[in-house]
Parts: sequence; C-alpha cells; structure tokens
Amino acid sequence: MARNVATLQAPASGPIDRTTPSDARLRVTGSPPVLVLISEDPRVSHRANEALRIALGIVAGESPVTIVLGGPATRLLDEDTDGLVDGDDIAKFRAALRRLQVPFHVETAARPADADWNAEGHPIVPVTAADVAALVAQARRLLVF
Amino acid sequence: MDVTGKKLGLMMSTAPEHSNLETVLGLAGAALDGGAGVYLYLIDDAVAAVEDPRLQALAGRGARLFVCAYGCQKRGLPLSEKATNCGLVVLTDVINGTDRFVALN
Repeated sequence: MARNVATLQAPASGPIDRTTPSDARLRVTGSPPVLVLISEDPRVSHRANEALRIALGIVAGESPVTIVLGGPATRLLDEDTDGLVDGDDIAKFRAALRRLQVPFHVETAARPADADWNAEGHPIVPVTAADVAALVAQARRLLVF
Repeated sequence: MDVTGKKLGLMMSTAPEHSNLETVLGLAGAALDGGAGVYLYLIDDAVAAVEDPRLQALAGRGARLFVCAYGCQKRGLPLSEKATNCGLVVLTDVINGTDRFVALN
C-alpha cells in the first residue's frame, strides 16, 4: 500500500527531539504544526469524532498537531459521552491524546459552564478568536471540520 | 505559476453529492494539466466516491488515489481495487510530503 507514497518527501524536516519523556516517541521538531480546527457539534454529527480521530492519527505519525475546539465542538470534552455521536470512540481518542500530552485549545467564549465538563482534566489552552487566527497563520497545514 | 514537478495533496471527507467533489476535480485537473503530481485521500463520507468515474479518470491521468479503509469498513463498503486502501499513516505522509495540501471538509 505504501508504495504509492514512497516517492513522497517532506519539503522540509527539522531535527529529531530525542528527549521526549516516557514513551520515547520521536517528534520532528522545528516545523510548524498541523492545525485541526473542529467546530462540528458532536451531539448531532459524527464528523467531530472523525476530526478527532484524524488529529490523533497525525499525532501518531510523529507530526506536531494543534487541536482547536470552537463552538459546539467543545462538547467533545463532555464527561458523559453517551449523548455524543460515536461517544465510545470519542472517549478512547480523548484518552489517547491525554496520554500523549496533546492539549485541546478551547475557544473561551464557547467553553461550557457545566461543572462536569472536562471532568477528566484534559489539558486545556484557552484561546480567543484572535488567538485562533494567529494559530491558523502559524500552521503548516490546516484541517477544518 | 509553474507547478511542474510540484506535489498537490488533497483530502476530501464529504459525501460524493457535496460540491467539494467538483472542487477536487477542478483542483486536481488543473494541477495535472500543469505537470504537478496529485495525491488525493478520500476519508469519512468521501470514501463512497472512490469509484466515481471522474475520480478514476484523474487516476488514469496519474493522480494517486487513496481511500480510508476504516471508513469503508465502518460503512460496510467493500474495499475497492481502484484505489489504495490505507490508513491515517498514509494521510500523514500526504500532509507532510506535498508542497501544498488542501482539505475539503
């Protein structure tokens, strides 16, 4: 399967950071991240989960990823995933991202006030709309869902 | 703008009925016309488009066509022999290894 991409070469690659703790994963550093911006509502659409899955897949590929949750996509951090489309998968992907220490950048204005929101204590980076614009400008690639 | 030898990566996640398919056809066709390589990854609802004759025509012109095997399995679709069935590792390769990457969601 991979033969079709055997000729693909990254236009630029940075030095390898071999100091990553615990799981000794190697990350290519020095290159801007892939930005995955999610605003789909996981309560009504499977696409929020699919975006999370894709983000996790890119992280697993040793590429730096910034995940931004905007609007109703902040519900991806609801404690009770039963009310979310593909909720079981969302719980799994969240846990994997937490283990990999990948934070969620959360649009401040869209952050739910529910006490049980983000009950798992996933690392959060609050961002404003202006912050999101800056992240988009800095990103190497952009995936918007 | 000379795109000869450049690589264009495309990802489409929407169903074949969505206008994104037309956009993909236009971008990929123009890139091929200009001598660029095209790498198209179909994921999520777009896996249903894998055997669309227009996409197959692009493949016939040299575009590399990839389809998310997980997405096919989840939808009960058979794996197509007209594209490379693969996973997110290949998508990451397309994202990282192309000169330009456009995601149509």
